[in-house]
Amino acid sequence: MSDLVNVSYLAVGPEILLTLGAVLVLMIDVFRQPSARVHAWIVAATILAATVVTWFQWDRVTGEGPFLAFSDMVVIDEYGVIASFILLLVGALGLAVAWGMVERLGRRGAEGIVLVFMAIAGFQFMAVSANLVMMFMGLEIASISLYVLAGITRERPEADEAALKYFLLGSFASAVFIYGVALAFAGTGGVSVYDIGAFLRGSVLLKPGVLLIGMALLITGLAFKLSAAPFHVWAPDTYQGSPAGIVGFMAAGAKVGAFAGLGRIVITAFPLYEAEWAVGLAILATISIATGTLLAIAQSDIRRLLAYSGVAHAGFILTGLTAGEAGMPAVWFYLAVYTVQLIGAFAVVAAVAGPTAAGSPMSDYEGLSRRSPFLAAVLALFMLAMSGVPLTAGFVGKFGAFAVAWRADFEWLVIVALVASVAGFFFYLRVIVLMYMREPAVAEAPGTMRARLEPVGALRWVLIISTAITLAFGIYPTPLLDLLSTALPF
Amino acid sequence: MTSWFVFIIVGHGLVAIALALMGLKRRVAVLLAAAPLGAMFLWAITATVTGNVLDGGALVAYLEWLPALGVSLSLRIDALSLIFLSLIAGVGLAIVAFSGGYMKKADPPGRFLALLLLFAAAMSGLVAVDNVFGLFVFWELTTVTSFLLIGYDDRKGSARAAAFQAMLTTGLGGLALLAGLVLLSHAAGTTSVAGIIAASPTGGVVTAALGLVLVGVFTKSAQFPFHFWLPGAMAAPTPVSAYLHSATMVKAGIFLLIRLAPGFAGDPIWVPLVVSVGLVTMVIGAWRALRQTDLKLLLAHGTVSQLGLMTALAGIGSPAVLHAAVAMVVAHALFKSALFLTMGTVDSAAGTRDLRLLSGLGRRLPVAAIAGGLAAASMAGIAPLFGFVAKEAAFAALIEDDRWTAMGVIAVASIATVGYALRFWWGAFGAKPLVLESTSGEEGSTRPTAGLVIPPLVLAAIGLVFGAAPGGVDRLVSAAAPGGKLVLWPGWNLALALSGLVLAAGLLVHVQREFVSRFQRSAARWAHERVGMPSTERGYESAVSGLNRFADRVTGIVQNGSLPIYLAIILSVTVGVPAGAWAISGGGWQGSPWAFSAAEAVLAVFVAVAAIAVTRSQSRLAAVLLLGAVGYAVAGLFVVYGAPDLALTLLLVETITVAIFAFVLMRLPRRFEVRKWRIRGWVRGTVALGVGVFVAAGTLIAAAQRTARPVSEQYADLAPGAGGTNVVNVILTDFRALDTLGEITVVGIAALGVAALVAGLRSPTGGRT
Repeated sequence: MSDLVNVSYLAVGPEILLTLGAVLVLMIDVFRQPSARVHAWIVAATILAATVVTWFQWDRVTGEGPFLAFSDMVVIDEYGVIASFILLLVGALGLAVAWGMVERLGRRGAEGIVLVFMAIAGFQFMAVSANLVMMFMGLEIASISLYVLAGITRERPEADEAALKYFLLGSFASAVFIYGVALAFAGTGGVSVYDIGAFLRGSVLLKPGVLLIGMALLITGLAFKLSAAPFHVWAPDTYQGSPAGIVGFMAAGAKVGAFAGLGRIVITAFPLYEAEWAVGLAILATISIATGTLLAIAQSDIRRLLAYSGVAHAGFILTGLTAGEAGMPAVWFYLAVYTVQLIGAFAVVAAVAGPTAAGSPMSDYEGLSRRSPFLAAVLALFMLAMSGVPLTAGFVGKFGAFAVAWRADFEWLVIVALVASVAGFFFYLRVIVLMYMREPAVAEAPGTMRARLEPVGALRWVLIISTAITLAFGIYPTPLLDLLSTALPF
Repeated sequence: MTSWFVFIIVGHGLVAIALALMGLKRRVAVLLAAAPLGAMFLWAITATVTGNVLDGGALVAYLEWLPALGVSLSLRIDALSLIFLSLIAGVGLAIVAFSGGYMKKADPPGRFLALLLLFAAAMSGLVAVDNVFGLFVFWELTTVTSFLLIGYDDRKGSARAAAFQAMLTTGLGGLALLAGLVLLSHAAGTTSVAGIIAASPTGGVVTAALGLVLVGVFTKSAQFPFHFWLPGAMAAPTPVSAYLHSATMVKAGIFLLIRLAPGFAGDPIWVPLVVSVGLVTMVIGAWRALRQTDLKLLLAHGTVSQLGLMTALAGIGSPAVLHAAVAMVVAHALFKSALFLTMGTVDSAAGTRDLRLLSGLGRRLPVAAIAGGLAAASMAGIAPLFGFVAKEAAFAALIEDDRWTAMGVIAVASIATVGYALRFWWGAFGAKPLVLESTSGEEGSTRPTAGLVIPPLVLAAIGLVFGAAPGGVDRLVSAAAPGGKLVLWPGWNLALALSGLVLAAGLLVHVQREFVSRFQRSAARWAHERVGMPSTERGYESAVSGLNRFADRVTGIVQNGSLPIYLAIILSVTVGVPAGAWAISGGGWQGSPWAFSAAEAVLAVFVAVAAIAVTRSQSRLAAVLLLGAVGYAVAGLFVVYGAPDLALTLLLVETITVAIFAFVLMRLPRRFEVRKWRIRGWVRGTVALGVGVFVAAGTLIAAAQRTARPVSEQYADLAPGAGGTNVVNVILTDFRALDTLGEITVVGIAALGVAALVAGLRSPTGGRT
């Protein structure tokens, strides 16, 4: 640890801007009730400014190499900057999907914006923290934002239940994580990932028991946020009960943030125990893939289906992570495209159910192709992409993750993953069949429910952008893959 | 040359997009859809004539796709590819022309033609690509597009079910194929298909890999026990059936078999598995075809049977037999597409395709009758049609190779082929004395349009031309699979005699059809009652519903919404996994020595008792106070250890917490509700105890392992320099100020959450507009 405090505002620029944006939204809110248009300008300006600063970070990192800041608490390297970019994209898309909710909630809509900003900042801190305590701070900032977001509408008891369950179970996960930090500190005398790594390289631990337990607990704490089985139990209830407009962001952001932290921990702090954690992650991946795939089949609510599919996808991404550093490009490609698909899919859910609704029964999707050909086609694309059909980015992502795991001698895991992909095809296909091959349920009460349905405004753009990304990187993924594979080795 | 190929494939896609979006008039749409197919057909002819393909060469191109992952789209177009490409494009042209007239009621024809083009493009890519991953990609694309085509008539429940079944079966097979191909390329050390065949690795892994590849092939080509999806897929519009089950889709499996046979026919699993599956399928299909009264189903089962024949031939794999197999592929594509289209003409003219209701259509539809007759004769193997030439080649090659068992089975099944060929023609066009002459299905349309009768006639006529002058086709077939020669007149030999015998027997089967059908009925009854013949289709159904039920039940157990169960799962795994890791790493106890003072003991007991009392308390207020007591006792422990600053901080925090709780309690009932727990007390107790022991043990071990100087001592030394005496305060405000900032942020967000809660409490419907 250097003695210099080495303050660098560039290092935490995006987070500062996001916090400023959040404060601005809150302050304006105190003085007068601003129109949604004012909020929209602030959101756009904040995200844009944060992106520009992240670009400056990228410029500096690629030019002069990674740098540490704030008593080495924060590290800005390609890894962190890429994660920050993805988080900003996820945040921007997520807020656009949630815009209907923000407008509808009025004054509390502003709080929604603040919470999303804080969650992005928290996850970004996880990605750039070089210190486990710092990472825990990021985790908490983001987690608590998400807990509150889950219950923000308070329209229905389901939302409260979702938020409360998420909060209670999440608190346990946080406790597990911080206990893991403590044990890692006890084993190595450091809380900085670099110190831990250096200590382990410099000394031979005859009995690494405490350290391994600490490592396992750190992984467990993050596995909860990843919704990797068996720490996924909160996800289906939370996805189902939370407002439709915000679930996509909650799911996608948590995956990116948690994987950013997980990757940093296992690769920087514990490279010497790769054999141990790789097996641990492989087991976690197996359980997640099996549980997620099997349980998704039985779901009658599309959000629960997406939750379980998310469990399986966490497993697929973990499959890539078993390859360690060599797996990083595949993992981040997967994360980048999967989160976009996830937000896109939930954007359709929000368009069908309405922005603040809780629950999205599958029956709402019967004959969707007739009510809205655009929504149905887009959702069908995301379903195909998630199941890994070629020419979608989902295929490339899965292929990459499986390929690196195969090269890392986890052949059995790849075979499990392939088998699960087959079974997974079954439930994704079911959604497509519902949309294209069923008559829309007859409207018992002639109302707006079964009328034509077209996404409007920001939501429409989210769908177009996420479709474009899914197709573009499915057909020609080379630029992104090249970028990631040159940037990501630590 | 290959760049033109890529260009045409892309053209398929672009035209498909245009068709889907533009809502063109029927005639324009058909012409537009025909353009890329025509271009592909011309390209295939040109490539055959100009290149060195006829001398066994190939057109090769290399396109980078995912270089980072080692996936490229390398093309390798040899004679076999060209045969398939011309069939895909040529038959495709006929199908497009036919559907222009057939899909009358279909709302705009654009979507249908677009899907057809996409399917053709996927199929063309499949036969041209040389990379295993590319092969898989195109294989799955044909699955997806065929799913959309089969389910095109999406208002029909049967079409939906059939499409789903076909997709699930072939999609599953496709993944088995991928696994097999990956293993094969691993063993051969290359991802090029041609390279794998050239290397033709051997060994146990290769055998397993071939098994997986063959599962993929069998599902795609509707081989036993996956043959059930094909007749089901007859729910598709007729042009789709004609295309998918003659020249494309099902031929993908046969294509791969013929491709792989030269490299892998020597593997121990290949010949027995492929030949027996092929023969069984051929017999089952032939048997069922004879029983059908629906002309379309008759053709479907006939297709299953013919595919079985081709599979068996490819399974034998010797050069002469392979040569015959390729010829058979061409013959089958021509006559089966013609037969399906003829059946479509009959269906649209008479409004039914039940052969018990059709009579005397031959006079009303003479052109269709001629086309159907030629095609049926080709299927039956009557000279001078191409079906005869191909079948003769197969018989001769089998005899030459001494494959007598296969020869026998194929001959017997061929008798049935002749039988159902006759049954088809007689059923569709024959005059039946006891049946009313079929009237027009739709009023006013006495004559079918040219679009309905010309395409099948052209296809059937090509069969005649190829049969009469097989030399030209033979050059291409021989380039694809050298080892034989196609001739119209082989001279008097055993194969010809066998053909004659088969024809005569087939004729007898048709003449004695009453007897045959009685025999089949009683045999079926016997099989059903005595043997309880398992049906693979029922197997498929019960597998699908079983999976659904199983998933339901598991969900009911592990995801029942109960928080205690969720917590129990998470906590037991959290404790169990590290405990496991600890045990694996050798276990061993390195805890702190078990020494403590009297004061510590008293405080520890107090903490434990208070903690247990919290869980037993019925009153909310008592529970909160007990929790506070736990906190105060821990603070007492800090004092004993000589950390008064920390103790002071904790005391403050505990006090504030209890106070906050007290405020909250004002809004809550005084006592906890008595409720039934979903999990028993002893389970909860065990989990709780496990977590407690785990955390305690971890702390003890960790404390004992400390080697470095505690950071707290350093902080205590540095504190005066930072201008403070209370170490905790200095840490919070100075040493780890960034953490504190973060914590404050966390608290701020939590406050927002509380604010949202309170706002909600005031107006339960707040925010609803």
